[in-house]
Amino acid sequence: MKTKDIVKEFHLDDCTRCHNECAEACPVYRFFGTWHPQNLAGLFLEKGGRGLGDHLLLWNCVTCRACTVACPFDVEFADFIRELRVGRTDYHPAHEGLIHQYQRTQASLPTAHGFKSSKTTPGLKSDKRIKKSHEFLAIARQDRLGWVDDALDINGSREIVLFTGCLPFFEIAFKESCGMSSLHTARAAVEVLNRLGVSPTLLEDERCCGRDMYDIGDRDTFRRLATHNIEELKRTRAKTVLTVCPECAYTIAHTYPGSFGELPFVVRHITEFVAENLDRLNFRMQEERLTFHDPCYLCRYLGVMEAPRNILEAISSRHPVEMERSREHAPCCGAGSWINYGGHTRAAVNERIVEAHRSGAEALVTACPKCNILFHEVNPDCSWKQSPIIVRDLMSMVASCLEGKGRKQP
Amino acid sequence: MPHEERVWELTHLETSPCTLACPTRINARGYVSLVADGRFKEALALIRERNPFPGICGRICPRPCEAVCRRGDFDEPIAICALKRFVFDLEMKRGIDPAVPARIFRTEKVAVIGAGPAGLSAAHELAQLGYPVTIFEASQWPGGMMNLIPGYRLPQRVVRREIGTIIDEGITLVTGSVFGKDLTWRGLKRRGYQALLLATGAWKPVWGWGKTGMDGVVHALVFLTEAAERDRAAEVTEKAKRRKRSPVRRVVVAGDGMLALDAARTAVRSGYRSVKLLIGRSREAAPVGRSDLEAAIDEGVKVIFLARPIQLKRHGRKLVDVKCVKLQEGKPDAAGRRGIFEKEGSEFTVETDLFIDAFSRGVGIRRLRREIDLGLTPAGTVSVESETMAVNRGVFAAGDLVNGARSVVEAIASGQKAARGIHFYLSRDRTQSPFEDVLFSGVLQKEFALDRVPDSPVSQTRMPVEEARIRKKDFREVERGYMKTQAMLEAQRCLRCGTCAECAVCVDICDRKDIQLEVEDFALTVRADSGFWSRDPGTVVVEYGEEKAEARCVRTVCQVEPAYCIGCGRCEDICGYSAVRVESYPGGRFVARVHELACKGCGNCVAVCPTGAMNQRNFERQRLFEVLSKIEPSRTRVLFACRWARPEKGELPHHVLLIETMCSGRITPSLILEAVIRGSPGVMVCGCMGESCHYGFSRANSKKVVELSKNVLGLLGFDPALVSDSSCTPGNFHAAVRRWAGRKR
Repeated sequence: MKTKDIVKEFHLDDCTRCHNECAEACPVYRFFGTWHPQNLAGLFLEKGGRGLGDHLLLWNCVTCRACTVACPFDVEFADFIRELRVGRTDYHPAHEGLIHQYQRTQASLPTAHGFKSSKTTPGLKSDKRIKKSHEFLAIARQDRLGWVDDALDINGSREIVLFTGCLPFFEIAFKESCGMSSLHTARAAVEVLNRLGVSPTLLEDERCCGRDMYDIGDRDTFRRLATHNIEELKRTRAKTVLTVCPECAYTIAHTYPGSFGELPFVVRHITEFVAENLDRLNFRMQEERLTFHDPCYLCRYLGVMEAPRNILEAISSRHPVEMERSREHAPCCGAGSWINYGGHTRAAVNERIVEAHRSGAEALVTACPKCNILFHEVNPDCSWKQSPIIVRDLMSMVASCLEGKGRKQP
Repeated sequence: MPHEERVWELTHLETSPCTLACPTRINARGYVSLVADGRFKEALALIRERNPFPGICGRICPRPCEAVCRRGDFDEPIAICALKRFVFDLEMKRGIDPAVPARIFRTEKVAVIGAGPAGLSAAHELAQLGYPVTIFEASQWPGGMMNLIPGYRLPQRVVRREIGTIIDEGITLVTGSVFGKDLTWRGLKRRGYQALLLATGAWKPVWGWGKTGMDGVVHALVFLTEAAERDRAAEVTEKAKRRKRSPVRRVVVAGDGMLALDAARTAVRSGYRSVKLLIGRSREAAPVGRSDLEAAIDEGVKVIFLARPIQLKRHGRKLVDVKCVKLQEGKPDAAGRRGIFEKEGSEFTVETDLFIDAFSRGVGIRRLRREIDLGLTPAGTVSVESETMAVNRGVFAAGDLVNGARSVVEAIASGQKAARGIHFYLSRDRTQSPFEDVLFSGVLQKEFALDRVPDSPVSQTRMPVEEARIRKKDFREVERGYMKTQAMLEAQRCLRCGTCAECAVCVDICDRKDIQLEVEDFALTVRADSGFWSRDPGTVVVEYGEEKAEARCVRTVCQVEPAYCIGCGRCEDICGYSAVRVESYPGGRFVARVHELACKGCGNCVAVCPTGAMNQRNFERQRLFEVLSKIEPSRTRVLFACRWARPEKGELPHHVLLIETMCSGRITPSLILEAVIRGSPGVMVCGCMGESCHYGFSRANSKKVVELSKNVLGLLGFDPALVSDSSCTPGNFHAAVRRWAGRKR
């Protein structure tokens, strides 16, 4: 996009260079103390895209949108940064880029729906060669549903699809190194839905929603993933798509239509659905004092803040507590798009844990797989002189509190 | 290319305690590493660079290296000496003749008096330097004190083989020639000799309890000489083998050290019924090897500690008994030494038929003094100039003659030093001596303890020995020596202290014709004609220094980029060398830091780093991923091999792309996935067998990585069999690769 188009698209000239509201909210600025969204916008307005060089914020930004929430004029800095990233590959991926490799490979798998793209993603071959090189994979099919056992009832109702996203991959990648189960969330979601009389459809050839690829500027891979997912979802003729991950929910609900047009279904995060149907569920109250950590995409992108809290109320015998910064002011866990981890990532997690302790809570509850992983991966260190806090996943807690079930936490 | 000063000077600052403790400065750490990797020939060659008697030292050395071995602080030291013996024995068993004729191109002749370890070592060094050397030995047999060491500790065949190897290089040996009687320095000079080395040793019996002229009193030197003669004869004639029962039944040996112990054990084997050994020190303080002492007791020697003879009583001319007194140790002085005092009223008498005086041996200088103006030390040995071992112009001295009664390995070192001194004198070329004082670096300090050890202590691999009941009947060797698996297992216990192992493998693997690698005195130097940058993984990366034609090596160590480090400590947890620690960092953070002297460059920390803050020099992740870009879809099979599993020789099939890392633990799932994504029809990760992992702990890690990769690929719908894992040795590596890769295409 041309400079002036970008300025127009993201209302950059609405930025009045106020007294650093965006900076105060930005987790990167909080750690580095230099360069904040206002600076970036100002620099861009002055010099255009070429003047940015190696700007700190370009890749360290975790696209949490706290800046926009704080901005008196609602300038969309995060989207602006996403746009700047298009076509650039000088980020520093975590885990040697394993997660991105997984997503890109999914994008290149043969698809029943075909895809149109003329440009190739850096690092991947062109369409013609893909066909040849994957000859031996002609019948390759993802093996995503191995975790579904007989106790779970799926593919019964045609109305509701449960989109599990990258959870099966996270399970493999992080189970041992972080000592946690990602798939447990998906399992819990199915259990709860079953209890509500819903037998959700689970797609066999579901692929990553493409959030990370979109955010790091790889629009080509995003397009491949998105078009495939849209066709798969359309084929089910479902009316509602529930997601386990807030990022998937936002991406499908808002980013897909932006690029590919209206969708014939409603997309919601699972907590919304469960919160609406709380009266149809019977719980055995759990006794920990809980506090809820709002995931960026749930609170700031989707605006869902009450649903998870209602759920926590419903399952707890002791009233949940709030941390100092909560709801739309909740800080990002630092996961971002799995790039440029550093001091600010560590600081974000540690500070959050301090807040959780200070709030009097015994356990921190998250409703996002990435938050769950980050809190386990970036464990507290001795500089903060604190003990770690117990981290729990919301859906797992709900499932374990269902009446008539053995209480089992992952 | 900017020439920043990023090089590591692997100078003699950074070496291992065992190497420093060795009088001959054998690269102990280097050869133990080579044995651990199964490279026995190279290990023996490395030993021979510094010590021409591996078979002898590997049996009888007092092992100063093992006394300082860092592993000994944790459980038991590495059996460095036994490993030396192992590699020598292997060569001997295979009948390989190691003698390499020296190139004698100089004209200055050197005469060496005495074919003991000092004289032979000096002659060997001088011959290697090109000098024509003649050794004049007074007795019929070369070997000096080595001939006196009983066959059950040092078989004569080993001595003869080692001496033969040296003589066969091109040294002239003249036996039965006594200096001062058959030879003179003047006479030698007339015959064209320009330098003289006196290495006559310490052969004079020193009597501790008076030379009495009694029957039944003999000095240990004489006793052992006679025993050696009989032993030599017994090898030849059957008659000599059939030893008659000796009429002399009881023996008392008195002395503190190995001379006494050897005399006692020889006495047992010579048919004496009762052998008593009086040692004037306590069990802990006696200057003998522990295992030798225990072996003697097992063989029936009655050892009485802290006892000393005070009077020999006779009847007529014959000895009847020995009056002894018990001793006690006093309080330790400032230096920790205890004085020895006689205990009042503790006298006792031992009846005996033979008394062997093993008090000491001294140097004989009478004949030497006739012609040569010798100065003496207070101890009565010959005094020499300390750097050159010179007595006076053109005359040098070495070995026990200079040091007094010492071990064989010290005599060797002494002879080598004298050779250098002679070379300097004759050619005015001072070659660098490895005996210069070496500065200690952090590697050797206690606080920098390497903890690459298992959770529980592992004791030294037991040396198999002959049963005492059987072995005390003859002079066959008591210690049987390690077998191959035992040797490799023992060598793998080594902590690999210090940095450069000087194994000089980098010299071997470098196949560039336009650069020269040299490993010398713990330093690696590279000489290059022009600037260049080597990019092949697995080879030595070279930088071109600006002013000189010399370049230095960039060592493969891991480095942290602090901006990306979150201080999670996974690197610290996985490192088996304690080379990386999470430390406080400006700004209130905790960031990992690699101690470059301890890092062995395995790369495991790089693989577990969640942020990519850790990277490995010469094996940067950008470089590894770049190599993968050479994959031709559907054709190129990718082989991730570890440096130590792959042999140097042997070609890989053309359709196999090799990515070699120092350790298979460096491999991550993303590298494997990248290969598959680029269309490779098969990926193999090849590492060493679990127990023989060069770094000791990494194989388990790489297997987990392969497992994870297979799971991810299976999830994506690929055939998990695309990725395989193989444990290899250099011996079966190529066969395994061929089986996996199929025919060349």
